[in-house]
Parts: sequence; structure tokens; C-alpha cells
Amino acid sequence: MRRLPIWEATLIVLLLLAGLAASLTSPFYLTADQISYSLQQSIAVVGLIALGLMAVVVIGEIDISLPAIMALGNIMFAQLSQGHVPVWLAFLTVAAACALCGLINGLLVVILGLPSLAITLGAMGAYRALALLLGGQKGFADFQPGYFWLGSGTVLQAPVSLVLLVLVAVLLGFVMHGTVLGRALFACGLSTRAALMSGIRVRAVKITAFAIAGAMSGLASLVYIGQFQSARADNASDMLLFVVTAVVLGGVDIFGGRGNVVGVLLSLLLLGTMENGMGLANVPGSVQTLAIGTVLIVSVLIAQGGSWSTMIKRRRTPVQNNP
Amino acid sequence: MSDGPVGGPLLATGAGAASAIRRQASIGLLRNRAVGVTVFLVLLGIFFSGLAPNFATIGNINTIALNGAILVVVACAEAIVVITRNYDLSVGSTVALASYVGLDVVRHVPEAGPILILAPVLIGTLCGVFNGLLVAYGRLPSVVATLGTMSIYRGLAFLYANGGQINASDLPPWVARTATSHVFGISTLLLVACAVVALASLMLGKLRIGRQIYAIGSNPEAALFYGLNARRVVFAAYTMDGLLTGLAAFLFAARASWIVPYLAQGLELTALAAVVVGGVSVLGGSGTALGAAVGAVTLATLDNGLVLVGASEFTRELMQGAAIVCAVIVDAALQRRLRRLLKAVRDRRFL
Repeated sequence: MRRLPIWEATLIVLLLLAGLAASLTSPFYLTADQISYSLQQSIAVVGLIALGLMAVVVIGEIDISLPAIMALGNIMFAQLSQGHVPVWLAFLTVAAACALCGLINGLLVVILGLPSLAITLGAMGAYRALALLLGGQKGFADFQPGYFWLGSGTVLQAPVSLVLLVLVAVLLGFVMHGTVLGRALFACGLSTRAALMSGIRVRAVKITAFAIAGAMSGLASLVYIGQFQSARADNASDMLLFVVTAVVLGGVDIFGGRGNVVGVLLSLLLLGTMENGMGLANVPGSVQTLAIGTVLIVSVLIAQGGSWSTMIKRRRTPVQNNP
Repeated sequence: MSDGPVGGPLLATGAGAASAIRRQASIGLLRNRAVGVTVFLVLLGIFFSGLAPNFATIGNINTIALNGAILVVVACAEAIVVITRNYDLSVGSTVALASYVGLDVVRHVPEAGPILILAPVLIGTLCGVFNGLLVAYGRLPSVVATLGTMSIYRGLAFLYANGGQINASDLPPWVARTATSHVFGISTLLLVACAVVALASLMLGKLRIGRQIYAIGSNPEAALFYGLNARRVVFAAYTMDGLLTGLAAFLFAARASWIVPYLAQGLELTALAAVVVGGVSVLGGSGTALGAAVGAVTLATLDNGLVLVGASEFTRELMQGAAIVCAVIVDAALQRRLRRLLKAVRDRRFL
């Protein structure tokens, strides 16, 4: 259960090894443009969602509906763009709507007291269907150019989306590790009961975590549109594996209470580099997915050090049992 | 265990009488749930027969039964795992891997005959064993473990297929006959599904391992104190899950015109939906194989009816999402009522 103290160091070593392997297998790997472009392609969108998911995993829950929330955001952006809404207003609208989706998930989890997997499984279907209902089966490609900057623009030769990812990570790092809310999130994840006893408003904190994750999916949605310059209701249907892997590989305890933003950022870089290297080596997509799935399982296997009984206890921390 | 279990003292004092009442209360609720789903299914049938004139015909009901039969097998597999308070998100990928590799064996050794049904079943079982090892002995949370194996099994299927596909015409005729033949006028597929439901019900209801599966799911700590080997039981549950999924893989292959590695994509969600709609609690410990089967038939009926009334693909997805949400909420309400009931019983004992 205890996160290895050398976890981040290991990630850095693995990252360097992955970079080395990639530059040995392909002569095209080691250029700044190539690396920044492919990193932006593979981790900018996923990274934002992974950071949001981290807030949920830290409280000991999971939200598998985040990619569906992002798809819903994509469709909303498409509709707003066709209605000639300025991008900042559209962004505020979508971010609020996505945060609301996350909030609803949080409310359902807290009120019903059921496993978040089951709740967000249903929610995933509902949000995906809502996206289909709003956008139909067709793809949208005619966006106003202003919508693309966040996902495909550059500042000082660096992709805006990567800069954004780092900024958001810094901000989230501050919230998670430097504010009362952050400490409350970790406290809820370690022991809901103890958190409640020490006067933390557990329900409100949990709902906040889900809402943060939803809002991050909304932000990721704008980056997605900038990157792919199109939107469809079935966008990102196979993103979940990568997102969960990034969070778990980043050293966030899947049972809650432990983890930090630096680890998640490092694991994103590692996964992005792996994907980039494999792509340059012409490894087919299904094998890449296989590799990421293996990384997921191996990293959780290593991270698990606790006993079976501790795990069962952790798994059962129902809020509704508390007075 | 470093510090005391959450429910320790209560379990120690009120074990006998409380557990008897608890059992009775939950049995009552469970009966109601299975009946509830069946009533819903009947209402659904009446609703669609009103809307679509060709819904309540022998031919269409046959179609529903055939479509539902395979889902019933997968739902039973999933139910066994869900009752232990775990999940299996890899059933779709297991079906793809088992049917491709298994039927490739059939293609290459056609002279061996129907005994080769065991090939996909064996591969499915191996997938289940691996899941079981990770969840029970590797102590991985089931969602994470099976999310990983979902991509691993799918990736292996793609790797093995190497861009190819198996056409039904390459296979010996007995494979397709499994799906098309009839025994006493009833489709073999349907009989297999009924047999699976019967066997799974027998296992869960009467065999020791089945009762242990319920015990682990309904209260892991109590099961631990009782001396149950939780790991072994969870491992066994995943193994049985894999075995049935392997069987479902063969049935999938028998019905499909060609077998490709992307077969049965998204099946894990449909299976989970069927299980939850069928009244298996997402908190584990309650629900029946028959309930899961009724859940699967309900989803198949819903899908068929919506197609007949001309609803679009996304309405069907919306309905499936809504079905899961409703089932989960009903589950939560029932759990809460059960909990209140038990608390009342407990309070009376102590006052």
C-alpha cells in the first residue's frame, strides 16, 4: 500500500531509458520539434484528464465517465462555434457544464453510497448518449479559428497545450499539496471516518473532487478540438486505459490517500515517450495498447505492498454508515 | 490486521439471531427484485407489441432469444464475479482472444471434431485464471486489473491474428450448426444458455464454493473471521467467469460470419449492465444467475424493440445508459432499506 519513496526517481530513470531506446531505434526521435509535437499529441488531452482523475483517485474513488464528459464537451464546443459564440464564453459555458457533469457524479456517489465505478459506468453511458443526442452521428469540422489556438498554437516555439498542461499541473499541485482543500482530499482518501471525526465536510470535499475532474475534462475538450480540429460524439472512446495508467503509474494509490502531481506528470511524460518511440518504430496500435495495459498492471503490482485485510478495509469506507 | 475491524464487536455479539433475520430479510428482498425485473420485462414486451406490430411474432421472439442467449452466458459469468464484490471489464477482450485463437485451432485441425469446443473454453479459462491471479493473489483492485487485461487480451488477439480473419467457410460445418441446429424444436444456443443458467444457479445456490462466493461478497470481514480463504474463493470465481466467457466466445464464433480480433467490443459494459439490471448488487453478496439472465434478456428485448420501432443507434445507447443508472439507483434504495431494517433489528436487541 505504501508508495515507494523512490517512485519518482524510478520514473525519471525509466523516462531516460525510454528516451534512449527511442533515439536508438529511430534516427528521427531526437529533435526538439519532433519530441514536443508528439508529446503534445499523445499527452496534452489525456494529461489534463489524468490530473483531474487524480483528484478523484486521491479520495479513494474513480470516475470512468471522464472521457465521455470530454466528448460531450467537444459536441458543445462544436454547437457553440456554429452559433458564433466567442471562444472565451464558449469555454466558460463548457467548463461549467462539464464541472456540473462531474458534480452530478459526485452527488450520486455521495448520496447513494455505492461504488463510484458502478455510478460512473452508468453516467458514462448517459453522457455519451447525451453527446450523441446533441451532435448526432456526424462529425463537426467547421470551427471558428479562435477555437484552435489552445490545442495547436505555440508560444515561444513551445506548444500551448503542453505549457497549459504544466501550468494546470502547477496549479493543481498547489491545490492538492498546499491548501486546506488538498489536505482534506488526502484525509478523505486515507480514512473517511477519521476525516469526518476531525470535522472535515467529507461529502462536500468528495463532490468537489468529482467537479474538479469534470471541469478538467471540459478544459481537455478545448485542447482536443484544437488538436484534431473536429468533434464527434464518439471521440475518445478508448482513452480510459491511458488515463488510468497515467494516474496509477504516477504513484497515486488506487485506494486513495496517497500520490502527488509530480509523479503523475512524470508518468505522463514516460507514457508519451513510450508511445512516441513505439510509433516511430512502426509498432501497431494494438500492440501499443497491449504495452500500456502491461505497464498499468505491473505498476499497480509494484505499488501494492499492503495486506489483503487492509485492502478489504480500505475498500469499504461507506460514507452513509457514518452518523 | 493492525487495528480492529470496523464491524467487529457487532458481529461477535449478534451473530446467531441477527444473521438469521438478515438472511431472511435479504432473501425476501432478493425475491422481490427478480420478480421486479421480470415484471418490467413483461411490461416492456406489452409496450413494444403495442408500438410495433411485428414485435410479438414467433420469429421475432426467436430472434430476441438467439441474440440474448450469448449475453445470458456472459452475464452469468460476470454475475459470479460481481457477487464477490469484484468486476470483470475484460470479458469482451476475452471473447475476442478465445474465439480467434480457439477457432484458429479448429481451422487447422478440423478432423478432431467437436471436442475442440474445449479450445476456446480453455483459452477463456486461462484468461480468467490470469485475472484471478492478479485480483486475488496480486491484490490488485479488480477494476484496474481487468482494465489492464482488457487491453492485453485484445492486443494479443490482434497480434495473433496479424491482420487476418477467420471466415465461417474455413471452419468445419459443426461450428455453424451449433448456432443453427435445433433439439426438440428448440435452438441449441438457447438450450446451452439455459444449461449455463441452471448450472450457475446450482453452483451459487447449493455448492459450498457458491455459498462462499456470497459470503465473501456480502461481508469480507465476517468471511475472514469465519476462516474463509478469500483469495481462493475470488480466484475460483474468476476462473469460472473465464470458463463461461470462453464458452460464450465459442457461441459468438458459431454465430458470426467471420471472426476478427475486434469481435465483442464493448461487451463488458453490456454484460455489467445486464447483471446490474438483473438485480445483482454492485456491492456484491446478493443476486442470482437467473436474475442476471433475466437482465440479459431484458437488454436484448429493449434493443430489439427499439430497432423495430425505428429508434436510432444513439437512442439505444441512451436507453442502455439509463437502464444502468436506474438499476443502480434501485439497488441503492434497496440496500438502504435493508440496512435500516437490520439496524432496527439490532437496536431492538440491545435496548
